[in-house]
Amino acid sequence: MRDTKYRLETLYLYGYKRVEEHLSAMAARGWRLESVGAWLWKYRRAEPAKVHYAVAYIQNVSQFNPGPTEQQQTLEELCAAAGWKKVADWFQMQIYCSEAENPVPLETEEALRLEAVHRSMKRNFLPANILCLLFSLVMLGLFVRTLIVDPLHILESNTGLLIGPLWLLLAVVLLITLAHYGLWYRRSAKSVAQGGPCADPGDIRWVNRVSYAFLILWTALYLLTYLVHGLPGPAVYFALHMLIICLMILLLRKITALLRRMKASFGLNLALTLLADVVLAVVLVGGLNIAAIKGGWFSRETGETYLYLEETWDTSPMDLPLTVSDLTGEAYSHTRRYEYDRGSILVSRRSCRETVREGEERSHLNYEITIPLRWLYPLVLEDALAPGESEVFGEIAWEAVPAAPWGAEAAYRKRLGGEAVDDWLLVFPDRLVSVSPDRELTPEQMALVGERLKTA
Amino acid sequence: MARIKFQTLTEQMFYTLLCLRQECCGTDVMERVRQLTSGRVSVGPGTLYSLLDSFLQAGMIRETRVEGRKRSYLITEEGRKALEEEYRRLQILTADYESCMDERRTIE
Repeated sequence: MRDTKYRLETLYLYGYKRVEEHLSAMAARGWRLESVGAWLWKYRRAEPAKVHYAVAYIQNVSQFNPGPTEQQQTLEELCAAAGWKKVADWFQMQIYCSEAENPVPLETEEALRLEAVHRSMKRNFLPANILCLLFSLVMLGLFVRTLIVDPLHILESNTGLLIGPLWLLLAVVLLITLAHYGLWYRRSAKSVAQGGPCADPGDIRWVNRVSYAFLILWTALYLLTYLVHGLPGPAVYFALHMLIICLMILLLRKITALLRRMKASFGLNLALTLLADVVLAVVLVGGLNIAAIKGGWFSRETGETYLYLEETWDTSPMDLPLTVSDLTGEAYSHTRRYEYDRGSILVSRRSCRETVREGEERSHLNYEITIPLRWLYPLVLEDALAPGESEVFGEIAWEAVPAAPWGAEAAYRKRLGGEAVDDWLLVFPDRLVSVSPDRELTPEQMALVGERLKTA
Repeated sequence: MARIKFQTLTEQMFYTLLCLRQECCGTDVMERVRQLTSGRVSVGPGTLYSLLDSFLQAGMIRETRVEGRKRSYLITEEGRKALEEEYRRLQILTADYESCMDERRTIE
C-alpha cells in the first residue's frame, strides 16, 4: 500500500475556499498534504480525520529566497500561537492546518483578506497571466494572418495545424481565468464594502480539465499522423522535446531548492537558476536537434551506406515508385535514394529523390506527389501554378503543355526567366505531381512517369 | 494615505491599536484582544499579520524588538491619533444616539 500520493490539482491561487475545502476532504479520506511541487501536490497517508485547513497570503514570497522570509516566520509564529501548523506554501498562498475542534479562523476580517489576496495576485498571477495572454493573442493574430494570406502554409504543415489551435486554447483559458478573477474581485469588493464576506469564486476547474483533455487529444492526434505515415522520427522528436521541457522544469526546481537549502542569497539563486536554464536548454535541446539531424529522424530510414568517390551511396536502396533505371532501362552500380513526407493530415506531400552513378555518368530524378483533401485541391493547384520571381533566374511561370503524353488531365512546364526548363507539373484527378528529371524525356518516358506516379 | 485607509477603524483595528499602547508581540495582541473583549472579538493570525503590516507601513506602530521569530510592537503618535479620532467618532455616534433616544422618551 502506497504511503504517498501525487495529484495534479486544478485549483486556483485565489480560490482559497476551494483549496481549504479540498484539503479538508482529502484529510477526511486519509490523505494529508505534504508539499506543493511544480505540477503535482504530494499527499501522505494518515488516519482519516477532521482537519481544518486555512490559507493566508503573503505578497513578498519568492522561491528564490533562502528559507522562509521574515514575513513568513512572523505569520508562522502568530499561527502557531493560534494552534495552526504550517503545511506548505503555493506561491504567495500559505497553507496551514489545525486539528482543533473550533480553531480561531486564520482570517477574521474580510476586507483585509481581500486586500491580501489582491496584493498577492498583483505580484505574480496577474502580470504573468496578462503577459501570456498578450503573447498568445499576438501569436494567434500571426496565425490567423498567415491563414488568410497563405493558408496552405498552415494547412500543409502538421505543426502549423497543431500550434494554431493551441494558441487559441491558451488565449481562451487565460481570458476566462483573468475574467473570472476580475469578476470575483469586483463581487467581493462590493460584498466587503457592505460588510459581507468575500464572494464565492465558484468552480472553474472544468476550464483546466477541458484544456488538459484537449491538449492531450490534440497532441496524440499530432503524433498519430506521423506514426500513420510511417514516420516515427518526428513523433519521437516531439515527444522527446516535451520530455526535455518537463525535465528542465523539474531540474530547475531542484536546483532552486538546493540553492535555497544552501542559503544562497535571492540574487545568487536567481542568477544561477537562469544560468542553469540556459545551459540545460543548449545542452538538452541542442543535443536533441543534433541527434535528429544526424540521425535523419525527419526522413525515411535509408539503411546502410558506403563511400564511393567521396559520396555516400545506399547498400540496399529503398523502393521508390519511379527510378532512373525505370526511365532509362539501365542498371546502375551506385544508387542513393531519399524520401521525405512533409505534408499534413489535410495535404500529403511525398518528396522522392534519386541519384545514380555508373562510372563517369551521374543522373538524378526528383519528384513530389501532392495529394490534398478534395476541398483543398483547387487551392493547392492555384498555389502550385502561382507565378513567382527568382533573384537568379528572374520570372518563374508555368506554361500549359499537352497532357496526353503524360496520361494526365493537364500538364504544365516551368519557365525560368522566359526559358523552358525540365520541371513539369502534372494534374491528375486526385493529385498533383511535379517531376524534375535531369534530361529531356521521350514520349515513352513521359507515359511511364504518368503511369507510375498517378497511382503511387 | 494612512488617514484615508484608516479613516475609520474596524473593531479589530481598534483593539489591536489599543493593545499596542503597551509594547507587546503579535501573539500577545491576539490574547489581549480576547481578554479585553471577553472573547467577543478575536483577531485571527492571518488578519493580525496583515494589520500589523499595514500599521507598520502607515507608521501607526513601530517595531521595538525582535527575539528570534518574536517581534514586538508599540503604538506611535500617528497610531494614537487614529485611535483618538476613532474614540471621538464613537463618542459622537453614542451622543447622537442618546440625544435621539432622549427626544423620543420626552415625546412619549
